[in-house]
Amino acid sequence: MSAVYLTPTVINEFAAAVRTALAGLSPDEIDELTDGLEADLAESASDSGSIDLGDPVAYAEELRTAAGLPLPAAGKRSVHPLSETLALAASFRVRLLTSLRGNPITASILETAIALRPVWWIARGWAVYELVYLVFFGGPVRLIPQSLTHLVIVLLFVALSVQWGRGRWLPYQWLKLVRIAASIVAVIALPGVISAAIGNSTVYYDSVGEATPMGLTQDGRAVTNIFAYDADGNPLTNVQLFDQDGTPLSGQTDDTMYVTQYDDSTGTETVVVPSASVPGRAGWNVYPLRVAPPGTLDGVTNLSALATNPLLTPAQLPFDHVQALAPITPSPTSTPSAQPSATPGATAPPTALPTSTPAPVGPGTGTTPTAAPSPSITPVPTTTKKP
Amino acid sequence: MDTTQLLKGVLDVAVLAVIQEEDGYGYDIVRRLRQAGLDEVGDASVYGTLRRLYSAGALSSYVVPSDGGPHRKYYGINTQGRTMLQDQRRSWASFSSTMTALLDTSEATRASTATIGDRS
Repeated sequence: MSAVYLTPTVINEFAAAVRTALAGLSPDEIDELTDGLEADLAESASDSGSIDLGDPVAYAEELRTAAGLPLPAAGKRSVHPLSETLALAASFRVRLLTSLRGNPITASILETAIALRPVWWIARGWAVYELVYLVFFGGPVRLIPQSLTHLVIVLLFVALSVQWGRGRWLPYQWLKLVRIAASIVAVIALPGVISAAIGNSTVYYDSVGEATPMGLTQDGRAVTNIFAYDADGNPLTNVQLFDQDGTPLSGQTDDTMYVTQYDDSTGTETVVVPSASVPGRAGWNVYPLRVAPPGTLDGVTNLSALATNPLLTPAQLPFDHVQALAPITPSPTSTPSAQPSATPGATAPPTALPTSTPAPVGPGTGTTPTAAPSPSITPVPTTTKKP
Repeated sequence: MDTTQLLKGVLDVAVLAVIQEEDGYGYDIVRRLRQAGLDEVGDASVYGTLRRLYSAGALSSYVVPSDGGPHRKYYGINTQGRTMLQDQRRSWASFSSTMTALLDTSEATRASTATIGDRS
């Protein structure tokens, strides 16, 4: 036998087991008896070259008897079951480790396992945190904390677990039982917690994908209203829109009575409501939708109340007029009649044209200036990459 | 004969004698006792004895920092310890001479009563 397998860990474990076995004595007495024990053990072991430190309980007994300290009095009986359990566990552990170290193969496996202990400590702290979070706060279990608070709490759990692993932060004997319990719980919970965390992480990315605004969107931004202009550039009202399947082109469900829209550029809020003129349902596909000042429609739950609400006003047009469309097939009959009516309107637009041109021509280019600073755009490209 | 049983009774005086030569820390004392021939001495017994003698006021102690290692708690003998050692030395001398005399006597008696020169 050589001292090759004797690591400081063995010494520390043995010393800890001896202290545990002495638990019936007062903390001062234990300190007094075992002060410098590790150093003495290490020197003794390197002198003898023996890996067998023996039974820590017997060692503790010899130490106690030689020091002339009495067995714990009957009055300290309450400490006894706990100390005995701990001493038994520690003794078993040391004996097991000693026998494992007797064989080169198991010894090297054991050394690897010991080297990996910090990983286990971190995993234990994390698993217990996730379990506590799941049981007391309903989860969800995450592989990586989702907020700074969670991160801090996870780090606290991990720090405690690591310190316990190193035999620190254990001022009371009963904490060792807590440590054992935490280890058992962590071992049992780890597979479930890990798979749940991985599962939730996948769902997490999916859910962000689903978090893009429902209903009508353009470049990821919710479309809350639509303004239609006719071929001459005049605004239209009560335009009913349907998609390719004949579904009303509405951004909301029928039972929604109003939605709040926020204008980034002016910082104002308005409430958008559906038309009350569609029989049987809310006219969310009748554009432009009407608006009201925020807060005025709280508690409105039926369409008839919307129909008569005096606070409702037509939505402010983005443009009073837009440019008239160039006729593709000139019609001799319609042109003369259209020209006179279009001309008055057309005289005003020429000055407005340069600015208003982008809007009607291409929604993509026209909305770019306002859409660009919108924060709601950014999540979309990132989330679409993730799955 | 099991020398560990004998050791129990004389460990105090052995430890005091070793420390009187020179101050030492726990394992250092163990090593010197073994070098002196007390191979059977148990580490824990010596450490326990050191603590008991210290508590009894026979030893003083001080901590010496070591390079790259843990601090060492050294024990030294004090006046009370010297007195104790002196008393125990006398007791031992008296006890051992008594025992030697007793054993020699019994050996002599046995030898004289032996019919044949059986030395075993």
